[in-house]
Order: sequence, then C-alpha cells, then structure tokens
Amino acid sequence: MAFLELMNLTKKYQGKILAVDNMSLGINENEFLVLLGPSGCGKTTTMRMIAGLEEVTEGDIVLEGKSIKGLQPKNRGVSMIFQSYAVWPHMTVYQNIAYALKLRKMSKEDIKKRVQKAAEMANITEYLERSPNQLSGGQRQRVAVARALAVEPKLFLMDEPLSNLDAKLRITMRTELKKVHEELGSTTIFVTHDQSEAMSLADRIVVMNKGTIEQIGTPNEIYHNCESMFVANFIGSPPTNFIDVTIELEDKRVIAKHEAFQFNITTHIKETLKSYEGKKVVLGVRPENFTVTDEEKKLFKSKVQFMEPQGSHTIAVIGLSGQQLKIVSTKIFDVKVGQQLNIGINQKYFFFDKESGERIR
Amino acid sequence: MSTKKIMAKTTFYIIIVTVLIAVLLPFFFFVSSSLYSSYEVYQFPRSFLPKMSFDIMVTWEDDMYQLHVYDDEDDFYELMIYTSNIDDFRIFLKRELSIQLTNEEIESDFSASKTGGPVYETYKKDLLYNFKTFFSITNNADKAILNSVIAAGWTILISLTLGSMAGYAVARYGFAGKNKLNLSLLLVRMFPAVAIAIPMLVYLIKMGLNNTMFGLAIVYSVGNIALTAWITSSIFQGINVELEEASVVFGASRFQTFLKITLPLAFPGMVACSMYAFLGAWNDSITALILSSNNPTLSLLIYKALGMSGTIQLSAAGAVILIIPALVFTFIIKNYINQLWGDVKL
Repeated sequence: MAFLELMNLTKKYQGKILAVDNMSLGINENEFLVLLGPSGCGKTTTMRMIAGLEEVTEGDIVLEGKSIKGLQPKNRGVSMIFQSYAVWPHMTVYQNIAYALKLRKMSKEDIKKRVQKAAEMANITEYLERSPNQLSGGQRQRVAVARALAVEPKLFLMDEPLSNLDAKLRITMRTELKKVHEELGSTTIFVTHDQSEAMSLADRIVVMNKGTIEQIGTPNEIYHNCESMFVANFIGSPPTNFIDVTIELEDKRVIAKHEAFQFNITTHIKETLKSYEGKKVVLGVRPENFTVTDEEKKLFKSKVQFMEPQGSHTIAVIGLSGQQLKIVSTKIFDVKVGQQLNIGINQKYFFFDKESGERIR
Repeated sequence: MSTKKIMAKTTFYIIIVTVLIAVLLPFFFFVSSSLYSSYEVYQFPRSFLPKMSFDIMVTWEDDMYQLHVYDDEDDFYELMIYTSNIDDFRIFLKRELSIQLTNEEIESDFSASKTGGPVYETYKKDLLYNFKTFFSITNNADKAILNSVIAAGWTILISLTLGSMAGYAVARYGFAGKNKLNLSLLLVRMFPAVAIAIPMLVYLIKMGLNNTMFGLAIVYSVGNIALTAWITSSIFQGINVELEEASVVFGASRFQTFLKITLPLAFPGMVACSMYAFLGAWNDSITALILSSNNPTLSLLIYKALGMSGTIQLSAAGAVILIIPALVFTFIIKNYINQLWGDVKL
C-alpha cells in the first residue's frame, strides 16, 4: 500500500455539483506529486479534502495505513502552503512560525530551535522579528514555507504557492522548493495550473480534468506519451496540433489521408489502426515534430501566416486547409510572413479516437 | 493657475467652511452658553463670548447700598439692586452674575462708598458656576454618569459579542436564506425605540431587570446587534479565508482560530463598530425614561433638569457634560473609524 492512498474519493457540493469524481490515487513516500489541470478541474478540492478543510462526500483517504477522513485538520499530520501565503499579518515572522508549535504545547527551548532551523532552511533568519507587512511577496512566501517546515509534517500540501509571485521570482522559488524537498525527502503534493512548474518540480504529474484523472506519469511520459487529446492539448506550449485524417488501407499499407496530404504509417500503431479503416481519427503532432524540409521530403506546402520569435526557437503559424497549425523550429529564423514552407513530419505522432478523445495504441 | 482651477478651489473651501460652521456652531453655542451667567443670558443683544469678570459700581444712598453693573453695550452703569441687607447682595451676585463672595468680603468692599463716594470693583466670574449648580440641583448626577457608562459598556459588550458572531456566520457560512436574513437584520432598526419600549418594559419587569442598567442595555442592544452584525460581516469578508484555514491546518480549533486570528484582525473594525453602540446608549433619554425612570442615566437626568429649571445655561452645562465623555470616546477610537467602510488593510 502506498504512503497516502486516495480511494474512490468523491466530492459533491450542495449534493449535486460534482467537483471530484471517484478518484483513486496512490502517493509514495518521499514523492513530489503535482496535481495539474485547468481551473475547476478539482485539483484544489482534492488537496483540501486531504488537508481536512473540505468534507469528503464519498471514498476514503488513508495515510500510513490509517484512515484520516474523519480527523480534524490538526490531527492529520499535514502542513500546507497557501496561494495567498496566508501569513498572519498581526504576528511577527517568528510568531507565525512558532504558532503551530505553541499550540502543540512544546517547550520554549524546543520552539526556538525548530523556528531557527526552519528559518535557516527558508533563508529568512534575518527577518524573524519583522512584521509580514514589511516583507515582499517572495519573503512572505518563504515565511509560509518555514512555517510549514517547522511542524515537521508527514505530508506537505502546496496550493498554487507560486502563482502570486512575479515570473522571475517564481522560477527562483521553484528551484528552492525543489531543493528543500530534496534535502528533507518529504512527501509533497503540489497543486498548479502551470505546466512548466509541474514539469520542473514533479516526480510524477497527475493531470486532472472535470474531477477525474486523465493521466498519471512522469513529466516525460506526460509530454511524450499522452493518453488523451486533453493531455496532449493541455501539456505543451504551444499545444499539440490536431488534424482530422481518414484511415485507408491500400494493399498492405495503412495510410492517413487528408485533403492536403497523405502519408504511410510505418510505426507499430498501424496494426491497431487497421480496424479504423474508412473512419476519421485525429492525428496529433507536437509543434516540434513538424519539420521544415526540402521539396522532396515534404508532406505539404504551406504559407507562413505569423512568426513568433522566442529567441532560442521560433514559432511559426502556418495554414492547412483553413486550419491553423503551430510549428516550432530552431532552424528557421529568417523566414518572412507569406513565404511558402515545405513541411515534413517525423514519426513522433499520436492518433486519437475522434469520439472518446482517447489515444489509439 | 487657470480660472477654472481657482473657481473649483474656492467652491471646495466654501463648502468645507460651511460644513465646519454647521458642525461647530451648535457645539460653540452650547459651550459658550454653559459659561454665561444668568445676567448675560437675558441681555440683548447677547455678547458673543462669555464674560470673564464684571465691573460694578456701588453707591450709598438713603442708607442703602446701590449696586450698578457696567453695560459695555451702552457704556453706562445700570442699577441692578438696592438694599441694606448684605445677604441679598451675596445671593444676587451669585445667582445673576456667577460671582462667589462671602458676606464679609462684600461688607468690606462696599463700606467705603458710605464716606468716599462711589466704589468701583472688578469681580471675577466663576466660569464653572453652571456646572457646579447642575451637580448641586441634580443631587445624583455622579450616579447618573456612572449609570450611563455602565449602560453604554453593557450595550457595547452585548451587541459586539452577539453581533460579531452573527456577522461571522453570515460572512463565512453558506445557509439557506442567507441574503434575506442579512437584509432583514436592518429591519429591526426600523422600529422606533418608543414602539418597542413598552413591551420591553413588560419583559424587563418580569425578569426583574427594570431600573437596572443591564436591562436598559439589553433594549439598546436590540437595534445595535443587527447593525453590528451587518457591519462586521463585511469586515470578516475582508479577511482572507486562507488565514483562518492556515490556522486550522496548523493545529488550532475553530474557536482558537476565531480568538487568535480572526478577532485580532477584525479588532479595528469592531472598535469602530462599538462607536454606534456607545452613541446609541449614551444619547438616549426616551427609552431610559420609560424603562429606568427611577435610576436615571445622564442624558435622562439632563432631559429632566431641562424641564425643571428652564434656564438655558444650566441645560447647556448638562449638554456639555454629556458631550465630553462621548468626545473622549470618539477621540480614543478615531484611528479605527475608517475601518467602518471595510477599509481593512491586511
């Protein structure tokens, strides 16, 4: 059994609005797990149920083999970092960190030691006597981190802790959170809607949509081996291009046919696709898996509609029979809008079932 | 500066000054009236500022002293009283001119007029004469002040405790009919105090709380609880829920969270709220007249004194006595008043 086990967890608001739908998930000890999804997908609700801030409608939450479903938040052994930091403004930084320890009736000496230790880890030792109002957003976030560290919890919960910081600070704090996690080896659940945050922090990512889990996997699995159209669309910037194609069989070849192009499917997937003969499926191609190539190897020719230079690479928006495709290239920097490009494709493409949106394997 | 700007500025200051005059003039009127002597009050036109002293002239005619008071309006000494009885002079000086002298002092000052012609004297007025008189004619004024403080204190305590709890519930919990309840809170305030005072009296008598300050405070609290709930709910809404949730996650119970996190953060707003409760209780005389006639509060006492004496300077003195504690209270909480409008900076 995993360290933390969510069993058929369900949350309904006012008896009808389904926020989390029959979700099951195991989290291993020392793991950094990220719940990722668009707003309203139930990721925060799931975390709040684990913290005890939200009642569980159905299902169970088991931590270290014991159900914590009915326990008060304080008895669950979890600590949490909030989106707004939730650093109490009427207490000094020291009092903020010591709050939980005082409630545990620890001795003054022990409290002092723990606060000092947590403050050192979060790099805020020089601010201990200050009021939070005198601190910047990033410093307040560190106070929230120190406060969470001081209680030495079994489980860290982080609810979009970086989303109120400016872009540059977010990346610094991201690295620091990872560093703290690696030093302590603490089990962490991190909620975010920012995929780059998820990718850079997570051991495993749980992609959620409409209260259910779309896919669980390492960042690389999630990116390179999407289970569904939703994941392919949600992960990656720019997102995966989707093109409707018809599957046709000619002799022993399996062909994906589009009005502007057609190509032979040579990967192992062609066996499965045979059953889709004559049907429409969705071809998913990540922007970097289109190639700018020469006349001979081209799949189709297309006019550049926009160019979005990004420095290290360029995003080109091209047209394909009334549809817009985004391609990413590290080679084309001097292409003008309106120019014709020869577009090829490598073999890292996905096929999705048009009805269910699920990956065809 | 453009003409338009000058016009705008001028208009602005005219409005400010008008408002200031409107606010300060009654206050000035009361304070100056409370310092007049009886003689000054009935002079026409009345002097703008109260006199600090009186110039008098004493002559000796027909075996009687004649007392003249200098009238600076018409620049002559007006004959006020002539008698041979020194006691009459002492009483006249005290009652009409607020001058406190003993018979011996009067005798020694006046006697020179018997031989050496008119005697001119300048006597200092006792500025606080009206206040002293107010306390002496209303023999239980100090008790009444204490009563007022107790009644206001209870009112603040009751309405803030119950009102803030209701406000917290409205702000934090979802329940059916919440918006209607929130609106209906203000309905309570639509009933005039007099309308509910009689039924309240019946209840208070049944509970044995009539003529007590606690009973009076309960009645004052009726309207104030609703208002406090209304104001505090917006204050609580201004406090980020995550601050409370953090407290719960880090080991506090709901109640500890309320005491240690919510209350300190809402405190400034609640202090401001207490002003309404204070003023409501402090200024009321009608409800007190019905419910606690035998154990009056200060404002009731002044209300009664007004009817008794009928002299404007005594009523004014009472009013000033009533205003001062209210001013002090407002001054103490002045830093918090902005919070009333939900201006909670966290």
